[in-house]
Amino acid sequence: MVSVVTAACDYDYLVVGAGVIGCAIARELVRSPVRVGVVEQAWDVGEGASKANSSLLHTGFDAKPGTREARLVTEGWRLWQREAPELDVPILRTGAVMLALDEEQARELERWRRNAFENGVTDVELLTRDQVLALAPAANPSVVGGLLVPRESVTCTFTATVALAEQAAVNGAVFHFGHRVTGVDRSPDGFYRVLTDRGQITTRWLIDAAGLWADEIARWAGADGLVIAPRKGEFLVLDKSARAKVPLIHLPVPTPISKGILVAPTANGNVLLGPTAEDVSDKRDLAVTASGLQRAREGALRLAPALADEPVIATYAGLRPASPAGDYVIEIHPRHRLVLAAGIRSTGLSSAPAVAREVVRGLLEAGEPLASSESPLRPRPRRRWVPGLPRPCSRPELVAADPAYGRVLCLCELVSEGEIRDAVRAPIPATTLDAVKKRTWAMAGRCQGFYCTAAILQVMSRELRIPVTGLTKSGPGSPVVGPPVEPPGRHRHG
Amino acid sequence: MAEGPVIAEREVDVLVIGAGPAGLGAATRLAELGVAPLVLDREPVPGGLPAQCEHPGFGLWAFRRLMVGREFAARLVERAGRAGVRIESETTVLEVTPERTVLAVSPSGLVRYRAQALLLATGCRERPRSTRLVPGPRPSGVFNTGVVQRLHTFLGLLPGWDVVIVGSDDISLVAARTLARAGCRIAAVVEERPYRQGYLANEWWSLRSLRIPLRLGHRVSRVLGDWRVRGVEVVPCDAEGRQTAESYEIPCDTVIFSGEFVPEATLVAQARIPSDPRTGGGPLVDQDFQTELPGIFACGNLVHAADPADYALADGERAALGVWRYLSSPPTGNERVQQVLPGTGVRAVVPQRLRWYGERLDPVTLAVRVEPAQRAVRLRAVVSGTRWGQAFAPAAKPHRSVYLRLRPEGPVDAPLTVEARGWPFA
Repeated sequence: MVSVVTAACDYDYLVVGAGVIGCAIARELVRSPVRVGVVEQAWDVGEGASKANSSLLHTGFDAKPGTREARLVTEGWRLWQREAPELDVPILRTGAVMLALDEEQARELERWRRNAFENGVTDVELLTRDQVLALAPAANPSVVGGLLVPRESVTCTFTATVALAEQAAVNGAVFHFGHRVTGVDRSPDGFYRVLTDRGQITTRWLIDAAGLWADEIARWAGADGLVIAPRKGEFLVLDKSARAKVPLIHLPVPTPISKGILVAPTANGNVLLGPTAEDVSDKRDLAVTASGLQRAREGALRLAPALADEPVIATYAGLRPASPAGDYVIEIHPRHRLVLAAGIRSTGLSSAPAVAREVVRGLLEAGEPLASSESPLRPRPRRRWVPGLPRPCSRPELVAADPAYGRVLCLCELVSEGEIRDAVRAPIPATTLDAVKKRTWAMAGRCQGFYCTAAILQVMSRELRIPVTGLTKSGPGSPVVGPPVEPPGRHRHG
Repeated sequence: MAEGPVIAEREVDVLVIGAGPAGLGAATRLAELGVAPLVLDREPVPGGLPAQCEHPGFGLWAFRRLMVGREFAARLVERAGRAGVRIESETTVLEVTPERTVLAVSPSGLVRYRAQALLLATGCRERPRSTRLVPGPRPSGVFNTGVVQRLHTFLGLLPGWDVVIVGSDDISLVAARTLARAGCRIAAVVEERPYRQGYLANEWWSLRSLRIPLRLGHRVSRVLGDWRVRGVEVVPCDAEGRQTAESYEIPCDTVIFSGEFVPEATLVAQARIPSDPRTGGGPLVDQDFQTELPGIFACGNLVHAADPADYALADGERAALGVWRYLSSPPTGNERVQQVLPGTGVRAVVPQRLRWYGERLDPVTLAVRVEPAQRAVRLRAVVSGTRWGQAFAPAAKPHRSVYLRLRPEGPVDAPLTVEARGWPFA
């Protein structure tokens, strides 16, 4: 099959935003022999809302019935189950229990049970107090009842986004990192000219998956009316000692305002507390606040007071790109050759594969010659490690085959030199310290890099062939270290 | 199909985990006593944290001379080698079991060691920014002192240009001096408490001689900057941490969270060795540094983080005697155990138990942490009203041990309580 356009423009489809949604769409598009580009302002995939969420794979039991979100989350859950093994994406089917802490909340549970049924999640089950405490030993002893959602699962948002992007890249998608879109023009011949701070990219179709910035992109492309309101969520991460107390996800009974602060295991064996929900105006405001962390902690401890003494190892904040309409905005404008995939808030990780298919379905209806969603993709190189698997350093056959897997650099997470090297050499290379952290979990453990940062910088420097002074945390403007000592390099080692 | 690579099995008499001052001190003494210890260390260069220190302040006790950390570490390694200690570098312990098997990995493969006695000497680390819950975004340019030392000593790099150091422990003061002399501008050393943590002499040597400002009673309330740090917001506060004046910004491109050491107790938790929350999770030990699990010992800054390297070394040498005694006459398990408890004005005491092998015990040294900081402190070790020992210190602060040597009088069932009385600090 031949590409339908001439080479007069760079791409047939240009996805703006390499978050989980953008990467999923790119991966779905490269099933067909078309030219797909992804433009991203950050220097890695998944640096926006996809970076800082609760990493849950929702069944959609609590979504508003009849919404697009409810439908796509439910479909997304099923697609993930099918695709995860090939993508090396970990899924822990822990289940979730919604905890009613008083009689009023207990009455609400029945309503949520009906809600789940309406969304096709029919395996939910009302639990008595004793049943709840048997399943969730750390739960608040004053709990009066619960709702069990057995298929609610835990995954890893970093691994998922990177995996989707890598498979897209292996199958021909081209990623432009560090390109911030500054405007969109339509050229006379009908193509889009996407202006970025590093030059322009031309494309036939523009796919807006820009998360928090989706409204700006849409406006530039000529679709008014989309509004994205950032809603901040702050999280705390507990050390692995807490994991044994949290066998499944603990959910509060949602209020009309928010789904509330939850307690969840993570795929990597930690426990997550959060998120808060606060409407903010600044789309770059990723600061954790004293009050936010306190609210997240207090809310979580109401569900599971037994976690009070567990040490916090990390905190973070994320912004959900919410739309005031309260539902996903997925629109295909055939006349403008514009696709909006926006307003996809905290459930985007769960729904991403379904959103991608929805977009492709829309493009097919618009007459685009795309292949079916069942046509195969080239596999990506297998990962040596993903959260939940034994580390390469504990596998004698791997260490024997490659001694770099026996040289452990990050002690808390047991990350070897080999894994750092693999991350740098992957189809989407990890070029920043944060990107390495996202793929290997190095520096993300209890010491947060006290022992290993210097050694990891050395390996990255060697692999990327740039001096340590040229390495960054998250891209230009964030150098990790300062200048060399004068006279340089008195006591080098290693 | 050929046999795949397997985990090698090795038997050793004594296995020491960690080649810092405590581990090397113990291993050297054990070798001198005729036991051949094997030391596992995960760094390419053994010596522990002193190996990355370019500042003096080491070796007075062990070598009767002040030297820089690197030299101190090198000497310890050399001395251990002469005594016949084997050190396996780049070897990381993955798992310790209560039965004293240790799974370790190095580039040459995985090995499961089976040891008669096991000594944990994994040392300590500083608390990172995240566990201190300092608000603000997460730009680059936020460090611990340990990372800065490594960048400086091993890679010849500075962390940045304009530096704020948070904390006033000796490591913080010395870091300020080292960086200032290497060309950084130290905007301030900021300390939340109303008093300096490190020694007065160190403040003069490190800060005052270079005119580096020390701001006591200032808490960092926010890190600023989206990509790289562009400053910190500090709040003047009183002894209880209440804000006393308007907060203000100190522009800088680097923040170093310094001091506040916690034990590197991952293996302790993993092997389920009973630990003491009062020491931050270090294992409970007796006067021979034996943990609650027979044959597993722990010493140095793993049990009382963080005292100076010379003290860790001394710990190691005393632990070696305990290990040697354990190997030559294994305990019956019927010994009487006397609790050692912190009393008024004391947060933690190491050892937490005295184990009575007979009617007499050799003199015991207790490492005592006071709480709060006090001046003109008198420490008393009391058993049901009888004083067993006492010590005096002109000043005592919670982050560093005061040592109290006592002669146990005879086995009794009542616990030994250590109390501290002094004048409030500042």
